[in-house]
Amino acid sequence: MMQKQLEQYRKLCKCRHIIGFIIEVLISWVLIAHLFVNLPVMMGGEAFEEVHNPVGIVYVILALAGILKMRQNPKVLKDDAALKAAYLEEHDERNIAIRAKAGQPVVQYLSLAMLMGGAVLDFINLKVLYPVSMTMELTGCVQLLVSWSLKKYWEKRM
Amino acid sequence: MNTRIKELRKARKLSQEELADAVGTTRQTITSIETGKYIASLPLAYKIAKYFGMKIEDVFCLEEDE
Repeated sequence: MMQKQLEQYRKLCKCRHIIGFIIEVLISWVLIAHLFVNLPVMMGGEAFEEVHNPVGIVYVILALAGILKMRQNPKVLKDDAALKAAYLEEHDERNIAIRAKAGQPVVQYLSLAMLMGGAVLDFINLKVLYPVSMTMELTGCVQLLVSWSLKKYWEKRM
Repeated sequence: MNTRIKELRKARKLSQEELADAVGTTRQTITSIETGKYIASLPLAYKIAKYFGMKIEDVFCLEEDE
């Protein structure tokens, strides 16, 4: 029965790997364009130096790091021992309880959506929507930080 | 919740990892159960007791208020 569950999990991991790769490419392009390319210039507007502000750089780096971390480990697809370890890690009741207490994965997806939303708003109109986009991006970062902190706390506590 | 898991495990010369592998959980969970930081769910408690060939109440004991 365990073998059957592991095979089903392997198929799930393959799907995640492919979908994760596609999402990674799309989101990375958006983030890197946001960071290094003068978007208003590309869209016909005037240059706007705020795209290079330190907060923007930090959040883009954090977002990229977060995306890379969320991506399925490719070793899991090839190595049976790694597959079993990943399966136990994901389905272990204590880990499930810890993730639930930290609000994961809902908070992670919501935070990522806020970071992406902020980047999209900057694409639309950087000058006008900058306060809104910055608020969304900062909120996303803070949410991720709080969720991560809670996860570490409950890992120690439980 | 008190447990005899550590005592039973050492009697059988088992590592935490081996026990975790046998009952389908992680080593960290076994550690947390042994130290009393985490209370196992009924299915996990049943699997552990079954692995040792004992009843649940012989492996897990509810602390009584004095």
